[in-house]
Amino acid sequence: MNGAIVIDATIGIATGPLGGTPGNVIAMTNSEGSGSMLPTNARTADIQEVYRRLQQYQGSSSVVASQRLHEGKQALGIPANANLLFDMTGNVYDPATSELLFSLTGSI
Amino acid sequence: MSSPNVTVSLRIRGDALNPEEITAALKTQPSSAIQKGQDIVTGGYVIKSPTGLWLLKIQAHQTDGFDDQVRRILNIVSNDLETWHHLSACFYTELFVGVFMAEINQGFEISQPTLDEITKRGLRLGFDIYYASPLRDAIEPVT
Repeated sequence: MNGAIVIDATIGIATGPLGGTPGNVIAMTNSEGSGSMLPTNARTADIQEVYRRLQQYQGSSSVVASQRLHEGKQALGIPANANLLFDMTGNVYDPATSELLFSLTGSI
Repeated sequence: MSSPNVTVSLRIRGDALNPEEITAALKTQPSSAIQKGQDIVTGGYVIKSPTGLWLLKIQAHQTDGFDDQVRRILNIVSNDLETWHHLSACFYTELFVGVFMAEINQGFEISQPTLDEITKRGLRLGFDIYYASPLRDAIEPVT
């Protein structure tokens, strides 16, 4: 999926001090290299939905997804209470810069 | 009430962090370390590290509680409190704690001696808490 635009994806925002608003999104990914960004017109959804879809389409249980989320935050020095954005493919983004950080579908 | 699975790691982070200086100060090698802006490969993507980070992880057994893991980590690194005060003044020093609950209500305690050791070094505690239940996965199918 090189430089592909993924339509009808959904992202979620983790709970944290700043919170988030549920909704649907159009997410863009570029698997060729660095600088992958989430578009500014993205709307957010419940992280539980991200987990459910990861389980259905990737076979990743919520236990595994949680461990990967923790490991990603651990490895990048992300604070425990930081807000993060998720798309339905399991990619995790920085909500401030919309930059891709890591993925819940593989170990960092 | 049972206890959740807990994993503890030591993180020192800061934009001006030089990993080699931290390694020398704490007299042990990190599990991983990176300077701000260096490339990190994450699942096929390359990103720039958002901050400098020195990370020490341990292999925790499922029965290891919070106190056990903190004791093991602090036994690996320097116990010179002057060094710790310097690091904690210059960088964000913390025990990064993953708490993985398998039931709605779980809990654990932190002993007074462990709290003392954490406080003496000026370490912060960051709790990253999850409720992830295989049973919940089974009863909440995707519609």
